[in-house]
Amino acid sequence: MVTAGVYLIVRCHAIFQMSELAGDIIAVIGALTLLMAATVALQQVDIKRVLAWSTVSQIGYMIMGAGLGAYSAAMFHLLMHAFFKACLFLAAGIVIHALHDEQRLDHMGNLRKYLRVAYFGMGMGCLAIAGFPGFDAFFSKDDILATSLAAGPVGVFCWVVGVIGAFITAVYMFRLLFRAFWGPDPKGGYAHAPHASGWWMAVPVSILGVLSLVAGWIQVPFGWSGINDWLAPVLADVKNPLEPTHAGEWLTIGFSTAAALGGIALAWWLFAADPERRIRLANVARGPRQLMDNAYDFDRAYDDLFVEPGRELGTVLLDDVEPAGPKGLITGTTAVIRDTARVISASENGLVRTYAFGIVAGLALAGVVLAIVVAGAS
Amino acid sequence: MPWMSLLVIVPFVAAIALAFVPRGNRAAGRTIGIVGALLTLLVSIGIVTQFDRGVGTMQMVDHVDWVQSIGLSWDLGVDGISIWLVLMTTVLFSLGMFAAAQRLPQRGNMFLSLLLLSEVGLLGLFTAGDLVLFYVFWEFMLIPFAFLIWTWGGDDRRRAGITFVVYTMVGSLIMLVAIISTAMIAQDHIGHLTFLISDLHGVPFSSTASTLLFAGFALAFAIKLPLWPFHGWLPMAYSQAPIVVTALMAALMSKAGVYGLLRVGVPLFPEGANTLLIPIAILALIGIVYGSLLAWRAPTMRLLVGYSSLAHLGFIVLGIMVFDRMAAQGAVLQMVNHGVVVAAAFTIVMIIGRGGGTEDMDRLGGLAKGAPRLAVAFLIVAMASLALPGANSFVGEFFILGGVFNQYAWMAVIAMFGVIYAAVYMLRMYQSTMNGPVKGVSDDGRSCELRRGDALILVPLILIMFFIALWPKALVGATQASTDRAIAPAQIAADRPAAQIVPSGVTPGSRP
Repeated sequence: MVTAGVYLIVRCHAIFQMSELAGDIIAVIGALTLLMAATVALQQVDIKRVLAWSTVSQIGYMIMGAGLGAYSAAMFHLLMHAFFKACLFLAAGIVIHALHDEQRLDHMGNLRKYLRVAYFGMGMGCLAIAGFPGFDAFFSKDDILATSLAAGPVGVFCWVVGVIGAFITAVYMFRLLFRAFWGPDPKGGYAHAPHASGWWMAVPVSILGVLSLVAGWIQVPFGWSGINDWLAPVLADVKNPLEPTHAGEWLTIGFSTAAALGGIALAWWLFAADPERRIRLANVARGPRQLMDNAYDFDRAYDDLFVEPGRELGTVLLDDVEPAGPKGLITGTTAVIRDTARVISASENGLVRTYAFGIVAGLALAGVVLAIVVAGAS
Repeated sequence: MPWMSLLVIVPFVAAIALAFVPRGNRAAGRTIGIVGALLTLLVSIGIVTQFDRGVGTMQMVDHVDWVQSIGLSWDLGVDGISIWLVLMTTVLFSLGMFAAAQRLPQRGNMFLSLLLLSEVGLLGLFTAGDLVLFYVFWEFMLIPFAFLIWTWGGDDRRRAGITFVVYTMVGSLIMLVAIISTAMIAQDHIGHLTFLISDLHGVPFSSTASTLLFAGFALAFAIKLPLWPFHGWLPMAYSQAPIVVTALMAALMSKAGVYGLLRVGVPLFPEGANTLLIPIAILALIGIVYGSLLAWRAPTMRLLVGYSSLAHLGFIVLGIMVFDRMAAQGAVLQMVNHGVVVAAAFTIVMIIGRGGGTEDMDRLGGLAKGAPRLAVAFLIVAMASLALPGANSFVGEFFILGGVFNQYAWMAVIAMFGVIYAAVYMLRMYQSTMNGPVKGVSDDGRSCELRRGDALILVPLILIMFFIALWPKALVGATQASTDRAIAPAQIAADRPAAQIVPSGVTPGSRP
């Protein structure tokens, strides 16, 4: 469901084709999203949150591709993402189920001993999302990146961000894998030995795990292009379709493979080689890590920018403006009428001498008027 | 058959009959009230089946010259704009009668009788073809509502009632002056004194006269709607009136103002309407944002729905005042949508208030646990109110926003805030009462669960919502010709390509 936005951009490419600037803005937003979400994923302790932020990050890749005009590459990655992300979430589900609804990485470790199927699924998914050569996102992510290189300066910027993102992706995904499945049992051990899943959980994960490996071979650089051919009729109206250059392909393959392997290596060094290292490094870069943990305070910014002003304004309107304005219109009018009535009713005081005065004054006034009229007439 | 006259005579006779039922005989009172409302419903269904959808002018007119010397006549009829309002009035009054009969207050027969009288006023108003008759029904509608607030309202009912009566009376007296002036000025052009709206169509008023007369009518309509900032009476009246009355006021009485704009204001004074287009549209836009923000912070459910009405009516007025074909049709459709949805929303408030003992949102919570059926109905109504795609209001709001965007894009941008805020306040109302920890009730909210009598009211309303949502053409198809006819003069006055070629007032139509 979350990738619907990507689909809609590709579906409505005729609209986006009309403005290069809009496309570039989308691409840059996609690039920033993928980088931001990847760094947030680095800090999450809840395994479902890691996967959720990785989804955001992967969608960043797709949006970036779609914004630049690499429509079929974006759709390719969308499809591949469906396989490995489903695989990862189901594997995570097996883990959470086995640990009686425990989702925190701190309470996991050494699970490869207990949960082989989940280990297989998580491992295949991690290799795929990290873009390990031969796995599906290796092909689809590289397709986006290589096509980006052909899209001018914005494309080059996106390419650089995408490669950095690929490196971080490898780090945070293997952090998850190593912390949950490698190393010793968690502190204090498991209350109950994690029980293996039944076949009804194992089968789907295994199928998706295998798909994470083989699905990407539908489109291979320098080989064949199943996705591009499939989408060609739909995308026939695209002006200047982007074609990755040979050099671009090679450059991308080289850098992204290096990023993936480097990320995995760093994750291994941080989390697997010596489980204590993570604890010794706990105080490094605390501030930025806190910021990442809070997802860069976007929620609070939205609150401060949109929610709070609205609530404040509503309260002011309700408490101050409403009584003064619309109701004031009523109370003001009644006050004027009441005061006028008070002045007039003061004259009706029931004293004969007041009324007698009124009669005499009235007669005198009438006399004056009469005199003026007569004088005017003659 | 004089269908049109029957439409006002049937509830009137039932109301009079109710007044003669002895106070102790509540069963007879209930029967007469419900039968009277249902008979009226039957008459209106009879009218709908005979309605000719292609004609834009008044149909099935009952015309009797009344006081010929001053051009007064008894003239009732329907056109595309009023046909659904008439049907909605009879449907909602039938349901309202059921609701009232289930929990009849002290002196219940009088209560039902006054309800029927207010129905007479509304039906007469929606069908009147003569300005004086229009005015008579306008006032006729006010009085029973005022008495209903005065006698059966909350603790502060007297002040609420007086404010309501005096405020709306100020507006209607100005309207009376405008009516008389209109006829007097038109006399020079037509040759005789007449108050028939169809005769007055196309009278070329001078631009000052047109503006002043339109302003006179518009003020009365704005107070009744209410349009911001003339809504001072609304929070008091809505929160003090018995909830059935509140629901009917919000659903139907508010439409009287909109209907007046479409029936009288815009078609008779196109030039004046164009002069005041921007000011009124701005008031409507302020109303949308203001009403939404107040609904967001309102302490009770009743005020929340009341202020949301302010916002929704801002939408409708905007849809009419931009004189765009699409927007005007959306506005006419939205009149019906809002009526149905707001009636359902107040029914929900009534059920929760009855079971939970309070309408204060801070003191209720988690009711969905014991009242799942209520929660479902509530959610459907909330979604309809916030115009989710697939809900009836979505169709109307979409039409309005599309049409407004065609004419004044900036207005559509501001109006969009109303759509966003609608989600905020409706979800707030739902979440704070239905979700979260159970609060305010001792039985998990089971006392708030829908009873059979409540379902009898809510289910038809929800079915109507879905019907309109899925097949709006059933309604729009009938309103189109009349709506075009109502706004065409204003479009011509604005030098825009008119929605239809034939300006109104030229075609005699079905008038005998």
